[in-house]
Amino acid sequence: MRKVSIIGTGMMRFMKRDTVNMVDFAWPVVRSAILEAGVDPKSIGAAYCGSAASGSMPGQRVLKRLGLTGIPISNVEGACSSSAIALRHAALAVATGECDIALAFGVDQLNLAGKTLVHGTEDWDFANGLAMPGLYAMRAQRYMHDYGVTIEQLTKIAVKSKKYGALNPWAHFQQEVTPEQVMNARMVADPFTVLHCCPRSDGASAVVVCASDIAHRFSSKPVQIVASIQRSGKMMTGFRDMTMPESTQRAARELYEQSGLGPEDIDICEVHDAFTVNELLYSDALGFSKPGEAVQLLEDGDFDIGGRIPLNISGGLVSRGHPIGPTGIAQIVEMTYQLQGRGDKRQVEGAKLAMTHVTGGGVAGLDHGAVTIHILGV
Amino acid sequence: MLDYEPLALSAGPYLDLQCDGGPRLMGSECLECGHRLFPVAAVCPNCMSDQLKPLPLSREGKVYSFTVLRQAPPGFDSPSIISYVDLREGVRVFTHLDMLPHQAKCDMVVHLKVVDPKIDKFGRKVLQFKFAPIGGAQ
Repeated sequence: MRKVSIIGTGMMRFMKRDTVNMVDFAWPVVRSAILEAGVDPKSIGAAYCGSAASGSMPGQRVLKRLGLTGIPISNVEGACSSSAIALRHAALAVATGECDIALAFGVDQLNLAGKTLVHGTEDWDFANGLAMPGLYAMRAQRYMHDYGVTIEQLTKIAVKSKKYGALNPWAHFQQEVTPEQVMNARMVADPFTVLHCCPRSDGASAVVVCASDIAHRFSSKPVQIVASIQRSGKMMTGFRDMTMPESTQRAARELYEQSGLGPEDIDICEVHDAFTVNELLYSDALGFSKPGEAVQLLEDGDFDIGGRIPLNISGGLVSRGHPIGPTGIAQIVEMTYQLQGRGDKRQVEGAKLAMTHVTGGGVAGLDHGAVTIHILGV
Repeated sequence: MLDYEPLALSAGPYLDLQCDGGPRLMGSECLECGHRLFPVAAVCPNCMSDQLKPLPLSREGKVYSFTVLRQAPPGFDSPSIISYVDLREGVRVFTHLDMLPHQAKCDMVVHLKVVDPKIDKFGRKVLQFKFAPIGGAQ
């Protein structure tokens, strides 16, 4: 299979955008990725759109504005993993030689839809009153119980997220908060106040990829997709350990094995922090820490700029926002910036290998419906 | 036309109200591989066999985890204490806890309690049971 590189990025500030149709805010993002890549739009051989709440064929609805039609347009739904899966398939189309240049983007408009994820009506847990904040809150309760993590420590994750969100012009929330503000905010699901939770955002994100051997024609600093994996959670009906997300742990192990890399090789990472506790859960599952020990990395500043593994320096989902469909590619764009030295105030010096991790869904019996992990490098 | 009642569509009721000794939850056990699950199922997610037998479940269980949902989904009481409860048969049940928020703890022992169900937007009875602490809410 051919190597694949990212040559163009498009991003916008995630926020509440319910006064225009999503197509109207998405096409400029896609266009900016194509302009940054400098490719002839007619040379794009395939397009993949990740979306979870935008109905039928959002890809065609956005791309027709740009006349990017006639090519195969695939719409990918994988809840929060949607656009990460879209990128993976765009990269596979290039890797297998189906085309030389491909487009991947994500779009969703949750505030107009008035909802976040829609769960199956047959799903026992959700039919009986489960909600996503509740699911992660139960993971947090058990993690705190098993490892003695305190609410003050979880609060530090929220404070860190808002600190870096304040440095990111694309972030939904760009204001720092104090621990007191986090603790005294409206309670959503114990132990989470609203400042532990990602906001309901609207937005779009896009990347253009091409075969690595032609990438330098278009970009002075292309970013290679070093490794990519997509898995689904395993159906389990028994006593699952909710402090160790099995799909992330399994996918990460396979990814490391495929790539010959290990967690110690990764310089910077974006994980799926829909809620604060996720930074601990996924640090453990991705192997940055042993089970239960992520909180020590947090306390030691290892998740900060200058630390061992800067985590969610974009502000993550908690601060950048979480429009669901575009979230995976927003992580990819952020890590591309970092590897190209375009991180501005949040630049992590010398980053050579970056990881993005995003799960997806809410399906009873599976820890997550989907998990997608990428390693990018320069 | 789909019959949405009960929630476990094709495999029979998940709550046996006529059982001697009081109501109990019903799961399934696979006759091929022994896999157990809740609620009752028509096919085994471990080996795909359709040969399953009803599995009456313990009335007593242990709270694996819980949270107090301050804004429950439409149709449910706010706050709701939601939980995963582990039963001796090796299955985990998503349920609600019938207690005061400060009482809820990981690993506490709870028992099955039939309650007035909620009716969801499809007209189905949901949340027909909760788990309560020994000695009740206090």
